[in-house]
Amino acid sequence: MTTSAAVEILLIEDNPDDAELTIRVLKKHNLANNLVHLQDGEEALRFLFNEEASNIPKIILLDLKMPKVDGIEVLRKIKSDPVRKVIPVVVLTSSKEERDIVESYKLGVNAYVVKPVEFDKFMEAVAQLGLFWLLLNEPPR
Amino acid sequence: MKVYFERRILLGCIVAFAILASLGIYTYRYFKESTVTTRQVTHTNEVLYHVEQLYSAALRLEVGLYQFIETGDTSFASFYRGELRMAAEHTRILGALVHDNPAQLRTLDSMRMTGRKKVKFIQEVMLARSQSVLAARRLVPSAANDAITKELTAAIMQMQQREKVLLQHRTEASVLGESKFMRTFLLMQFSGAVILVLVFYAIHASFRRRVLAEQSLREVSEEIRDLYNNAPCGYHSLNAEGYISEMNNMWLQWLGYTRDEIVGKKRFIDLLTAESKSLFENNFEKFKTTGSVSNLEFNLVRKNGEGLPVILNSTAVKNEQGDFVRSRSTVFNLTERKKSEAKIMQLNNELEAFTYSVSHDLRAPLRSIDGYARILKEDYGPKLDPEANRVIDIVVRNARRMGKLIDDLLDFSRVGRKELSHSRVDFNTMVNNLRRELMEQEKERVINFVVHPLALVEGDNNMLRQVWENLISNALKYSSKKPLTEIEITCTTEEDKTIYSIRDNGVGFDMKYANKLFGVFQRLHKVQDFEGTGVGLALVHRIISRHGGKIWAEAAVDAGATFSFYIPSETR
Repeated sequence: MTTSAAVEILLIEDNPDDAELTIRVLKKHNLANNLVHLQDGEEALRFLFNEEASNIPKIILLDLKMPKVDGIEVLRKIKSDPVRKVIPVVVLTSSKEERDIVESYKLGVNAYVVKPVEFDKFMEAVAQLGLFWLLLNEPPR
Repeated sequence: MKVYFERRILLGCIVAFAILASLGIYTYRYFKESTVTTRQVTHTNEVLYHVEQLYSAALRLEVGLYQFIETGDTSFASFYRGELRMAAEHTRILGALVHDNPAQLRTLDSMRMTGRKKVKFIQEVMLARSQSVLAARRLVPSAANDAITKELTAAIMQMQQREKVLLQHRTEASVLGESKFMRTFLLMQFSGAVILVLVFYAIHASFRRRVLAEQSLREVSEEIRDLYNNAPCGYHSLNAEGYISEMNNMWLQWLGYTRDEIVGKKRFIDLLTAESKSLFENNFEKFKTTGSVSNLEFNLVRKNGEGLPVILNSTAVKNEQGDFVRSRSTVFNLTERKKSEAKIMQLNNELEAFTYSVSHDLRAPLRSIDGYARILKEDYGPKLDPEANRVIDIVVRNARRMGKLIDDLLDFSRVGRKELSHSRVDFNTMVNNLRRELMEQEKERVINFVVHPLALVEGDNNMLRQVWENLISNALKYSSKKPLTEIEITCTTEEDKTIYSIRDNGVGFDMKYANKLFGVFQRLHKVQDFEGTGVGLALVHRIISRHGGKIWAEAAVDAGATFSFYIPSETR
């Protein structure tokens, strides 16, 4: 996946089905043009903390439960880095657990969204997220 | 001085003492009286003696006088003077003896007069004799002399007689007095003895009772000691310096020390671990003034080096001046509880891990099933026949339903595990807000929804909100097929309990299934009729139970249902 244009959306999601559904929705709304999908936390950290290219996406959609390095760990790394902590991170997860929500907010997450089981609602949630963070939200420069 | 005798013993002793005292007084008085009587008898005898002497003197003089007339012996004169002196002496004594008896005094006076007459006569006779025997013989015997002699004799007799009568009276009185004294004396002695015997029995009975009481006291104190030593908890006392002054067997057994190694030798602090030592130091001085501590958890070191967690409650024993004397502490062994707590914590962690993976891992595939089924329908639906479309719809519907089931089940599990928070909850605001929110989705229905004023309650705000949300949703759901929906929320007080009720005019249910109402996944209606997973009321039930309250329902088929609950004011 080459990145000719600046990465807008970084999707970190280990479940390929969920990832496909998410990308499908974003595509429908023309929001997936500069999207990078990574399968786990390790890949994500390698991508974000690349010495050669500074990859600063407009928005990171982060799953929590992933093999090797989990979402919470990725979030902690991002939010404790002086340069990368300005990147908006939205946790997009199946977990409704209180401790995950609390822990994420403590680490400085910008939003926490529980993936609805029903596809209608899922589509709506992802679409709104993309629209909000890419079109409405004004990121720091 | 405090008297420890029983009242009746004391009374008996006093009576016996009084009897003995009066016996003494009575005897003393009797003997005093009888001395007087004896003296009187002696007196009488003396009187009689002197009267006798007088009489014999008179007789001797008479005889002497006759002899003198015949013989003319001149010694008569001295004899006569001697007799006369003696008679005068006896008369003087008699006078003194009978001075208190007027009758005798009078007789004595007449005797004196007669005596004088006699003396005068004797002198006449002696004068005549000095002239001639014949002259004397003419004078004696004579009627005059006989009269004098008779008179004298009569007086003497009278005196004798009177004294004898007196003597007899006195003797009789003395005998009478003696027998009366003997009777009284014996009676008093007897009653004194009887009372003393009774007192003895009373003392015996009292003593016996005391001995029995002491015995049972000893038994009870042994029982208490046994209880103290073998109770399923530890008891100990600390003195002001913190030394252990007493400790029961159970406690010693836990610690693994003998009594001799502990009592008076070790301070409580010596048995504690380092962090418990500071807890003890922070509390002991304060405890000595406040007088109690409760539920302090200490860790001790047993003799074999093992740890011993305990929970301690203690009160201070103070003297009359309010100074600390010793502590009285109860200790429970927390070893088992700590083990159970660790086990529970482990189980809770496992359960949490399980629900976490349920929450995450089960929902993801469901979303895929739903999502891809929808994509299939969206992208290929027009190419598929109606039956294929219907089957896809079934897949979608079931995936959603399972998603809802999982969500509800997780909610239910979360309510069981989550710590209750405590605050005052304003049901009025809560219920009215919920009514507004839920009615928002029922705009096309005609609903008469009345909320009466509701009392405040103490509990977990979010959980109680869940209760009302479920109850109100149910009321709206099960009354949705009525042309006019009526819902009423009330609050009543029964026997100090505040009972909240929600009544609807919906389909209700058959009371014979009421026991299934609050079970998880238990439903009394078909899914086609009313949507639902069967978790809502189970959740309500669990929340109310966790608040220590109770929920129940009354209903009839097609006649609506009323759900009522109460929450105790002091929930744990």
